Order: sequence, then structure tokens, then C-alpha cells
Amino acid sequence: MGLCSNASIDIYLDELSSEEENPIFERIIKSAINSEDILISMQNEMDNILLEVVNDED
Amino acid sequence: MMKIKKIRICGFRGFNELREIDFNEKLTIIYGPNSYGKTSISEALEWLLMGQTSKVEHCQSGINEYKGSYRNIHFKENENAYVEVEIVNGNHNQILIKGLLEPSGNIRKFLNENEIESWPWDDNLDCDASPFILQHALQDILHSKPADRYELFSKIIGTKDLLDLEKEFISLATKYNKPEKVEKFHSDTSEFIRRNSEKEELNSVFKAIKSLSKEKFKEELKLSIKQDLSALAVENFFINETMNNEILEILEANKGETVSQFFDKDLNLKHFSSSDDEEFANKKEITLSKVSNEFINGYYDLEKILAKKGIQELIRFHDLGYKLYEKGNKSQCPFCGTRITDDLKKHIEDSHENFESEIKAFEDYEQKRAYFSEILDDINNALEKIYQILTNNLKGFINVNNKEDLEKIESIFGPENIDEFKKLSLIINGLDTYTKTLTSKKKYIFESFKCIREHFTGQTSDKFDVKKISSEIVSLIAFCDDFYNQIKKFLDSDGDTIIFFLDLLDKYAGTELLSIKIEIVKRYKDIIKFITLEDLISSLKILRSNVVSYVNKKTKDIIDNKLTKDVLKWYDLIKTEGDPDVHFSGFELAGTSSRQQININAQSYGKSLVSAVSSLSESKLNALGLSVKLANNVSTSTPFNFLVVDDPVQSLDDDHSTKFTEIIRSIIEDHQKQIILLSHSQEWLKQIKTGNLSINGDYYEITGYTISGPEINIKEWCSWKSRLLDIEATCNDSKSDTNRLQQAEANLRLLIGQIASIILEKTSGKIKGIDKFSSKEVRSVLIEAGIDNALVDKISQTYETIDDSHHSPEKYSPKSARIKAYCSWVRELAKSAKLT
Repeated sequence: MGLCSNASIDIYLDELSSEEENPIFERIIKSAINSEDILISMQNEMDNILLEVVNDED
Repeated sequence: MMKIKKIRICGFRGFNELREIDFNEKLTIIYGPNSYGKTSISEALEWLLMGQTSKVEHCQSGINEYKGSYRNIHFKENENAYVEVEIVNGNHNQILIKGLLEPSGNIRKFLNENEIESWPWDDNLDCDASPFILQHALQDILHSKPADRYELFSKIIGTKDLLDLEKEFISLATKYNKPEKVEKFHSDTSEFIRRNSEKEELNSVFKAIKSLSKEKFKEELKLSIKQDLSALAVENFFINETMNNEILEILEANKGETVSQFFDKDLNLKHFSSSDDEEFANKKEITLSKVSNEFINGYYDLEKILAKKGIQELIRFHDLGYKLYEKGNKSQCPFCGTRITDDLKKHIEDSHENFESEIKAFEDYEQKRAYFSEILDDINNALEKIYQILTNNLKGFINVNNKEDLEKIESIFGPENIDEFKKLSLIINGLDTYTKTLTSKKKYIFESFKCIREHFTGQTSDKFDVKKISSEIVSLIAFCDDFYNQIKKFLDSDGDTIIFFLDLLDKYAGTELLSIKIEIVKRYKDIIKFITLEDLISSLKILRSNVVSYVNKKTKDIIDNKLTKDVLKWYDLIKTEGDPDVHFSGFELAGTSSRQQININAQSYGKSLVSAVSSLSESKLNALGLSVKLANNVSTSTPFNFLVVDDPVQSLDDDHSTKFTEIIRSIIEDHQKQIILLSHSQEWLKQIKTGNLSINGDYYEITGYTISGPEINIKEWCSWKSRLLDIEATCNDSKSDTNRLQQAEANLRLLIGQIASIILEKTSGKIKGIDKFSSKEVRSVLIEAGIDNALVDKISQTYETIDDSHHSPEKYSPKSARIKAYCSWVRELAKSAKLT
């Protein structure tokens, strides 16, 4: 926690996700909250989103 | 909130042999000429608490330059170097923290003598909450390039997390790789689009796909197939899958009609779908699991029962005999009337029981036969499905494996493509051979099954070698695997040949455009998915841009407002009144979103200057650097309630030095921080001590340096005479306010304690801290030293009064005349005690 900020990455992510209007972006950001590796979590979530499209039978 | 009570250093940096230093809970000053091991003390603390020293962290030439430098070069080889500190936490508990320096340079951590992996505060230090203000550390910030300064400041003010977050999103947008399945789907569809997008007649359809507009794509496709369909069919297009299939049928029928003028077979060879892949694997598994166990065991079970079928007649005969025997009351033979002995009776009963169980086994036979039949059905159906998956697509393709059709195909290829034709005919022939072998193997298995069924329904008496049949089935599955891979290989390695042929055929028949349209309709759902995928992947750039804006907004707010406000507060304390009005006026985040920089602004008499770095004197820049570090250290929420200040600036002019003295007092008194101050400037330290007489910290001097390490000696904070003169000067100064007079009173109390301490040491050899005396103890020391009773009373009364003054009601205020009177009594005491 520094001089002018007392927010952690998770708090920033939470704020970002609540400001985000695009549900896909919101989903990606939320996946990173409380994760050990933010990039990997977001990439995994993006993988899931794309696989859902490819696997969608309807 | 930790304060440091004591440090022990052994074998670390400049310390070869063990040295101990006690720290004052408020202020400890350590003087040492350059290269006398002074900095080794601050480095030992920094290494222990932060894991490495900032000298190593900021080293431009890399950590290797400092490899092994933590361990003292003269330290005994087989001993462990260490740094140990006694800490007092906010609950007044004492904690022992020890770092053992391994030969590798790694640190082993011990908390109250228990080894731990990480310090309790390690996870909370998510920004530069370091309590160390060290030599040259300020130059990094102020003299760096504006763009580099952005990163340096982010570490100090705790926005590094934000920058890291931004980097993660940038990586997501620029380095994201699709999962394998998505990648395959994407590249297949992409390849289809690439291959056909140059067809002029379908240009608008592919343009719509590339523009990622699903609605436009649908509209353009409708328009393009309108001429091939009835108006009603076009209207129904895309409503649901069934209707789309009907429309597809119409298109295919149109094509078929045209192509049938040349070929009456479906010559397309398609890839296996993912459901084909899944079903193929699933049916293989079913077959192999049933054939190896249930099939063989089921057969032998039934065969065993069947072998006993011959005794059925005998059973019936005996059953009749037993009924007659029962009717004859089981005592005489129903045929001849002979009496039945007990032995014979037992024989008849046992035999009957045996026959009963035989009959039961035979009754189970039908049930077992039905179950076995189901096993055969399962294997049969699984093999049939595998057969269909493998051959369904091939039918038309391999049916041309006859002289007449192949000649026709050869003519379509033409002499210029004879090699391609040969390749294709080899593929057709190969797949035809595979299909024929498969059909024959399957036929053998199915016929065997038929015969086995007949055998168990009593139609034949043949027996079967089911182990052989089972191994035939296993071998058939292996063959199917091979066949499956061959088809895939043909499609993957020789797919171009097949496509080339189909294209030629389309050209030959004039169905080229129609074929593409059919393919688009077939892939309609895939193309919609493709557009969705493309849209999602490209939208990551928007996400990145959103995050960058968020981070910029957040950082700008912090830098332009909060950082500026906090630093200005400290800068205003340091800046001197006599300065020309050229001063730091704030920080500002500038630059583009991709290249941020932090400007350090300055103003002169209300007008903005180009930059503080170029406008401020060295001394003012140093003051600004100190302000940044102090603002950060004091405002930051940190587990460390102390500051280690090691020669932070090499040049502060006299005015700024004086101001810094006031700041030290403010940090100790207003922010309750412990300060450990190290410097090579004896003059400056003297100024600090004199300015903080009432604090009365600990003062050490490093008086020499040998191979065993620095010689550290504790010295008097100041002489009793200096202290007395300082108090009198304050009282004589007409500008002294209540605050200064209160400090003079506190100082007077220390002065009496200091004189009592000197007298105590002289009379009894005992040593006692000057701030540790009660008024009773002062009185006792003075009486024992033979001081006149009247003077002892006056001194004791003075000591009590000023001791109680900080508990006094608010209306109490120190008076200079009264303090001056007290001072005259202290002078009298010094004279009486013969102090020099």
C-alpha cells in the first residue's frame, strides 16, 4: 500500500468489472479476481468463451 | 507497528566479528567517516527485513556484480554469518528476527528462533513501503528521464499494481493464443473463406463476412442464392435448421441434376466430424470391452448348460418315478411293492435333489441365452456403426473404381494433369480395397454371430472357437483404426488433389458457383461462429484500451492530486523563508496513453517554469527528493514504525539542514516514528542533536575500523553544560513560544537526570540512563553525594514540577522566568557537586 493508494489489484479488478458494460469483458475481468496468475486466468476465461462459441450447437 | 530495540551483526558486509547496537526508541544517531562500515548497518537491516539491499536492487550492472558481497570476506569459513534484531511490536511484545546468510547468498529466516519461509510482512509489501532512505536513492527519481520516472514513481506511490495490471491486459490483447480446437475451427473456416472469396459473383457475401456483420452476411447470401431457389424457400432461409436443410436439399438437387449428366455418384469425400470422432472411439471401446470378456464367458456358460440338455428325458422319467414314489408314501416301490429301506430312501432323496438343481440350471438357460444375445447385439451394432462411419462418405467416391468411370475422370483431368489423376486413382483404389476388406471381415463376424445364435436356439449342433472369433474382432478393430487413419491421411495430405478434382468436376459440369453456395449454406452456422470468434478476439483491443484509460485516470488522480498534496506538505516544511521564490509546485501525469511521463513542475513568483529539475538548485532538489521519500514513508501504511536515514543527501545547505532538524522532531513527535540516522557529517549530526536535546536519543561514533569490523562507541548526546546553555538561551529568546518553552522544560528534566547520573557514577560507579530517574531517586543520589539539603529540596521540587507538567491542566503554561530560576538552582547544584 503506497503513499496515495491503498487498493490492491483485486480491488482495482473489482472496480474495473463493475464499470465495464460489455458482459464478456466483465466476465474476463472477474475471472482474474483472487487468482494467482491474472494473465493465465484471463486467457483461460477467453478460451472458455471461444470454446463455448465453437461448441454451441444452437 | 515495529520498532527496533537492538541489532546484532556478525559476518555481514563490513562486520567480521559480532557487534551489538542498542537503538533508542525515538532517535539514534550514528556518526562514521566514509568507508568505516556505517552503511553496513543500514544494509544489514535492509537485507534482513526486505530480502535484499537497494544497492543491489538498483545496480545497473546486474546482481552478479554483488554476488557474494553480503558475506564479510574475512569471516570464518565454517560459520554462519547472520543479522539479528530485537523488535518491539505495537503490543509491546518482544520479537527476535534473525536472518542466516547462506554461502549462496540466500537468506534463511527465523522468527523467535523458529525457521519460517517468509516474514509475516512479506505479503503486505505490495509497493515500496521500505523504511529506508539511503544514499543517492533520491537521484534515481529526480534525475531519471520523465518516462522512466513514471515507473519509478509508480513503485513509490503504490501504483505499480496498476501498471502491472495494465501490462497483463496488454499481454492478453497482444499475445493471446486460441485453444487448439478453436484454432483448428478458425483456420478451417478461414481457409474456406480465403479459397473462395475471390469469386466475383460471391464477392459481396465474403465482404460481409470480413466486415464481421452477421446480418449483412445473411442478407447477401439470401440475395446470392435467390436465383437458385423459389421465393418461398428464400424467405424461409435461416429460420431454423430443418428449413435450412430443406433449402440445402434443393440446392444439392439442382447441382445433382446438372452433375448427373456426367456422373451419377456423389464424388465428395468429407472430413470426419467431431461427433464421428467421438462415436468411432466410443464404439471401439464398447466392442473391445465386450468381446474380451462377456462374449467368451457368455458363450462357454451357455455351452456348459447345453451339454446337459441330453439328460432332460431322464429327468422327466425320474420326475415321474419320484411322483409315484411320493404317492406310495415313500415306503414301497410304486412298481413292484418292494419295501424301500432307509438307505435306498436316502439315495432316492439325494438323487432327486440333484435332478432338481439340474432342472433349475436348465431353466436359467433361456435367461442367459437372452443376455448373451444382447451382448452379440451390442457388438454387432457397434461394428455396424463403425462400418457406417468409415464407409458412408466413401460410397460415391469408391464406386468410380471401374474402368469406365476412371476413363471419364481421366478425361476431366486432361493430359496436363495426368499426375494428379494418377494420385487420385491411387487414392480411390486404396480406399476401395480397404472398404472391400472391411466388408468381408465384417461379413465373417456377422455370419459367425448368426451361427452362434442358431446353435443356442437348437437349430445347429456345431460348436465354435469363440476365442478365435474374439481375436478376429480385435483384429477387425485394429484394421478399422488403420482405415480411419488412412482416410484422414488422404484428406490431410492429399486433400488438395481431391479438392482439385471436385473443382475440375464443377468446372466440367458448370456447377462451380453452386458448389460454393452449397458449401456456404452447409457452413452457415460455422461462418456465424467464425464472425463471433473474430469479433471476440478483436474486441480484446477494446478491453485493453478500456483498461489503459482506467489506469491513466486512476494514476493521474493520484499523481496530480494526492501525491502533489502530500509531497508539498513536506516540501513546505523543508523550504526556507529566505529562498528566492523558485519552488516545486507539483507533479503532473502527461504524455500519451501508450507513453506516460511524470513532469515535476516548478513556479517562480506565480509563473510556471519549464521543469523543477532544471530550475531548482541542487539543495532544493535534494529537499524535494527527501520530501517524496518522507511523504511516502510517513503516509504509507506499513508494519515498520521506524525510518533508517543513511546520508540521504550529500549536500544540504545550512538553512535546509536546520529545517531538516525540525522535520526529524516532527516525525518522532507527530508521527511517533523511531528514527535511525547515519551520516558522515559530524557537524550536521551535532546540529540534529542540539535541535533535539529534549528527545535525548542515543549517539554512537564509529571511531575506527579494523579487520574485525568497525569500532562503535556510545557517546554522550550532549554535555550538561550545552544542555543548560540551550535551555537558558531558549528562555532568553523573546520569540520562544509555549511549544519551545515546553521543550525547554523537558530538556531541564533531562539535565537534572544527566547531573544525577554523573554524580551517581562518581559516588557509586553505577550507570543509569538520564531519563530513568524518579524524583525520589534524584533526591537520594543528591543527599548521598552530600549536597546541601535546602538545594536538594529546590532541585527535587523542580524535578517534580516539570515531571508533572505534562500531566498538568490545559491552562498550565511554562514561564521563561520560572525556568530561568530553575536553571540558576541547577548551576548551584553543578557547582556544589564540583562538576566541570
